Amino acid sequence: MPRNVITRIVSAILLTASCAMVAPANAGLVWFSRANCANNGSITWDWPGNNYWLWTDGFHYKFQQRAWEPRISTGWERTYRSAAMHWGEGFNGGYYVYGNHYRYVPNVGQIFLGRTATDNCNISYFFPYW
Amino acid sequence: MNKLILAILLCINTTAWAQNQTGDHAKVLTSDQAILVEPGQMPLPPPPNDGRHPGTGAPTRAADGVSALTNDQRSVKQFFNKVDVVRSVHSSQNDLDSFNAAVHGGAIGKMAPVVIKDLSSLKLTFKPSTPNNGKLIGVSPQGTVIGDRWTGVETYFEIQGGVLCVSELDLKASGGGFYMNKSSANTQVGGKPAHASILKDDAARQIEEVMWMNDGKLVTVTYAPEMTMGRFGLSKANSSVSALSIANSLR
Repeated sequence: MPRNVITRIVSAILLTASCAMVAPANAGLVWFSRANCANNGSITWDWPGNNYWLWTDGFHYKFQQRAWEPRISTGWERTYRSAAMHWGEGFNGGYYVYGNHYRYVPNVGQIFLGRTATDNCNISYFFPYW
Repeated sequence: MNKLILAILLCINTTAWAQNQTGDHAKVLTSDQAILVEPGQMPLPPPPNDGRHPGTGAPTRAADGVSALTNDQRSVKQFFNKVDVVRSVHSSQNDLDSFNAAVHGGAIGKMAPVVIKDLSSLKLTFKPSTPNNGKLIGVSPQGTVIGDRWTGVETYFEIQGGVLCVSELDLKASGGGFYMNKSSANTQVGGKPAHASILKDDAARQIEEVMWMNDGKLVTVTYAPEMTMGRFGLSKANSSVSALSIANSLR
């Protein structure tokens, strides 16, 4: 079985299992895009309890069809995680993914956190309590 | 072949062509300081109720004559919860190394970071700021990773009279920017427009915050002063220290 297929299967299992495995810890707000994992998506995340107003837009390009998928937009959510995802889209590979990540601070303004782009699943980073 | 196409896509990603194809109108920014705009000029429409918690009204002017004062239970609680975690959870160097390896395509299944004990363990896209004094109690990476470097960090300190968090995000590195409401720019730090606020909860706890952008970095200083009961009620144990004074003295 090709290594990347194993990687995806293990990723899916660990992603599910991670909900039950985590110990309390801390991080600041983090954001990434992932392509050609089981899913394609752009994610803005912090640990549960650290809630923000977040908005994530995702843009997916399929090489074979030389075409962009329709934009995925979360809109504003008061949450610890915001994800512009196409679930299961990346199983067969062939995508380029980029995301725009935003945060809103009441009474102050908007932060364009930045843009993340990738054509691979190299970030084997799992988000507890996803 | 795919790599070649990817390289071409990355080059054109920020162009009008790509934006027209995707419907993406966001501009990758390179601003060194906050972009002052009217609310209607923000890149996105505001969330419901301008993002205020139910029951949280518009801010008033604090007693310092500068800061915006808000009763904000959730934000105060959130900050003290984070401080509790930072004090109680310290990850090992192995945890950090594993996490960095996972980010760079190494081992699978590593959990999220991490509070580490010192700044020297983290690779960052910038040199982090520190206050003039204070004892470092924890460090957390934040932002995203470019190459092998994080674009942000939160550093926590115990300082005389309170607890401090200095949050820095290298928005210039990640292509982002800070759109500040013109009307919320109520002070300056190092000549740059800044927003100062004081958030209180019903348990008489308070945090002071100053947020500004300098040299492409979004900096937020959050200071939770110790409060003592005096003749005139609750007041700061050390009235000479404030988030604004700390912000102006960061190195």
